Amino acid sequence: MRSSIRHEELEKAMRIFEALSDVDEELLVRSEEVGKHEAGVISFWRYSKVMAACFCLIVVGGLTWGASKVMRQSEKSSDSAMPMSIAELAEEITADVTGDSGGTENSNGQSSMSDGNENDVGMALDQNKQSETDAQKEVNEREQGSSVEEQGADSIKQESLNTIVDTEAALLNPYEKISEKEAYATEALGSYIPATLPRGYVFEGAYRGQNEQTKEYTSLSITWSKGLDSIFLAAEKVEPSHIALTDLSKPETYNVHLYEIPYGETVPQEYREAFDNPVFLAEDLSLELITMRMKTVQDSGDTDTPRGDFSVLYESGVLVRFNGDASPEEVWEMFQSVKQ
Amino acid sequence: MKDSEILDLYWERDEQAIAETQKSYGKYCYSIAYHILRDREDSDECVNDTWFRAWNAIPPKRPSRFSLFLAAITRNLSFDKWKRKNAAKRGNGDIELALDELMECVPALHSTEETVEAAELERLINAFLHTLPQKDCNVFLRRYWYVEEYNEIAKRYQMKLNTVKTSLFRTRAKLREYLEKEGVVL
Repeated sequence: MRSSIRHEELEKAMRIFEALSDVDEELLVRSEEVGKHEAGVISFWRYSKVMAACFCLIVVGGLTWGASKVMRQSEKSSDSAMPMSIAELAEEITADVTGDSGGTENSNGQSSMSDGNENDVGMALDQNKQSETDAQKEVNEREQGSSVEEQGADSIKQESLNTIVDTEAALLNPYEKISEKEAYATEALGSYIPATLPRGYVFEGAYRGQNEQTKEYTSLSITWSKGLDSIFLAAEKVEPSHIALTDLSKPETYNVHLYEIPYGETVPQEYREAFDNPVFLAEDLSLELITMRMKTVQDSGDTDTPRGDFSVLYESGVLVRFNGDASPEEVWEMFQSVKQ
Repeated sequence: MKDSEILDLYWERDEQAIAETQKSYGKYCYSIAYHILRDREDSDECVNDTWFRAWNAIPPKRPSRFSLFLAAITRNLSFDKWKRKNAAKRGNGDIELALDELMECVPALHSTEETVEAAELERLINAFLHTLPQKDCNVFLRRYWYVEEYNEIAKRYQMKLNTVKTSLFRTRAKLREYLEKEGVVL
């Protein structure tokens, strides 16, 4: 009985997995683009660590070993007619230490990946904690030819990772990961990020997209989080005439408090589109309006912070989409602090 | 060779198209297949079938994003193969874990509702993904589209392992809530 329930649940999960097949390409491209952008960062940081470790070893090891060599040499020199010169000694030290540095690089690379000691969030998924995935190993194995001995294991690993992400190089979606400061400084869109945030929220990430021809920034998104709560804002330039504004005189099309969850059963079909994505004019935005879009939902595994979503259209043609967890007052304060 | 040039070869029915596709996207597609199947031979077979499918589909198709076009074929073929192979017995593997996790997204049953059609479910999941913060969406797709492991995702996005887990945990809960809100029955 129990196994048949599990089987049923698994079948349903498989339906979700299959439904994901048809996900918008833009989303997949975006997930690749960020990866590609960061692969360079990973590479730099990995190698900078390796280089730093090697440098330390060269200095410490060289000095220690060199000192003992000098001492031995000086002991020998009393018996020898031709003592070793300092230059020869230095060459020998360098050669020996360089020979060791490969091992250092490998061990360093491994330790940098073994970050699987952190606490689990309660899911029985520890099986995923592997220092290197089998898939990656598999790809690596297939790449290994006569050049394997010439390259360090770490560089092969990095190469295969880069190969996977670089295959997307031809894709044309120039999303760029940026800092919070850069987000605020983004021309035309940065000014739509609120200066005031609810207490305790910290910056998590930001991205912006650029029109390759005009070089204008066309989209900007930023996320802050506080534990399990998050606030997501996305600003983009739109053609205002293409945006369907929510009719404020019809609260039944946007007030979440009028309906029970699941909304699929309670919100009339004719309101569904407006209800799912209400767009308000910036000048119409008010605490009352925001309150109508924010609701606390009893949900196991999540906080009881009110959550909600809506979009705000500014006169300049910038649409700001909000999706997050905070009290209506905090959200209202956020939007009031926009200095556009 | 550029994608557009490879696609031209397909349109000219030049079999060199397959060799060039293998050269440019062989490892990429193999990686997707292997994440699902965990079997070298099966993965190779799926990748070869991907080229065959692409050959039959282009023309008339001319995918705007060739890599994703191939990736989607590989993913579907690999999952189909996994289902066939695992109909009788299910072992351990990433896909098993990913599906176990996705079981958390299955909405509670409402007896009055009819089972949602596949196309509608696809539309709803797409809509849901668009509501997510970009980072959470990326992490979700790397896990459940590409079936990547947590530590791969963490490395890719320079995140802590725990942050990846938390993000996925949160997104699964949101998806379940979203599907329930939409009255979806699977």
